[in-house]
Amino acid sequence: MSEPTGLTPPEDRDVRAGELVLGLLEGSELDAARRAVETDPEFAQAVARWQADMARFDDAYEEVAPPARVYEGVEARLFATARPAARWYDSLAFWRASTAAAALVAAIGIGLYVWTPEPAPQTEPQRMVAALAPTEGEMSALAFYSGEEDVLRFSLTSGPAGPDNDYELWAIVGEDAPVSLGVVSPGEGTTVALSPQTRALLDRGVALAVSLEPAGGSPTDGPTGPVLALGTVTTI
Amino acid sequence: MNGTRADIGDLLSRVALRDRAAFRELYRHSSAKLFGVSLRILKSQAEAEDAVQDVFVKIWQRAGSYRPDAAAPMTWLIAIARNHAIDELRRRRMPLADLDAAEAVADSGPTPEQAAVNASEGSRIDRCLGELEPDRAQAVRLAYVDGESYQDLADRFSIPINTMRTWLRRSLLRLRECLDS
Repeated sequence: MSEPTGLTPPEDRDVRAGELVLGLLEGSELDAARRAVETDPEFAQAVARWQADMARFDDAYEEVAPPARVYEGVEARLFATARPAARWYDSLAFWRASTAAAALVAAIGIGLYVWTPEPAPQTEPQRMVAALAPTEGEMSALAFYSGEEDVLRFSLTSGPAGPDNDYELWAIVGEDAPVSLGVVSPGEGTTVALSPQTRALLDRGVALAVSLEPAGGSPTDGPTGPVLALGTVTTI
Repeated sequence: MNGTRADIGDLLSRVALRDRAAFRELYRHSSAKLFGVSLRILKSQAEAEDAVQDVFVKIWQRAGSYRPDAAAPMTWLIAIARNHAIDELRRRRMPLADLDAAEAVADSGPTPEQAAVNASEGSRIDRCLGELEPDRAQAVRLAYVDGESYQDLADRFSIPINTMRTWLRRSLLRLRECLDS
């Protein structure tokens, strides 16, 4: 266990870190080393060095595409099963009802508070909502932004885009060219991450649109496919 | 199939922000490699499928703890997959029959990594491994790539486990010296 004997403490640290990266430690030794990664910066650094040096061995792993059921299982485990449903905008019923009443919600955005089970605090950060109505077909969508979370909650009622396509969300300020907010998937209560740049675009009167694009999103700066749904941001 | 370092790093930071589209994109770019890792270590299609599913659940949960200054993004992802597969391997302790089958898989034909080793002799780790006795260099690679334990390696090389432990610890010491020089 302690051979080779006569190791200096730094040598022993390096050897132990190397054993951890190789996957050779077991039981209490493994537990201790994993704890040390969290608590001992020098040990963590020794582990990181081995990891970088040995990353070369990763070439040995052949790429093998897993069957589609694997990703379906991941999504089911992460996004579909027993959602905590702690917050009103996570509830399926909320999104269904809201999407059905999309036009109404857009007209009287303040009505959204009806769906809030808890009273709104006095110093409420900025909240915005947009109901996107179909321009062709039957797609509709609802977007909700709250300053306290700084993400765009998005619900898209539509069939899947198909294997070679994705839906993409755009913000259009006045006469300016549309700016992509990212690829979006059909479903309730998904999240669109915002950058400081895209966050700054969101304001009353800005148009949001969903277009059909090649898989992975538009290859250019602007939408290339048909716009399927369109709506305007309202502050609430 | 392989995303560039910047792509994967960018996707990881978006996944940390709970961006599901980025998560799907990350899966598209990295699942074949991570499934390859799981298959190689677990030597079972069904177990590798379960493992890679667990791995992507972990990636979703831990994306926020990725530190770009500590590891390249793909290295980080592969480390999660390797650690998970090795943990699974240790947990189940393969019955002997499966072990034989696994060795048959591992030993069959020219391995892709052999080609990779030959292809880039300039790499530091390859040069330093080359300074070790060939069987010790092979033991290091078998531990990393196939997740073999001290016991597996001792059996394979027909030496006592403590001798194998000494071999590998000395080899690590020499590797570190060589890598730092």
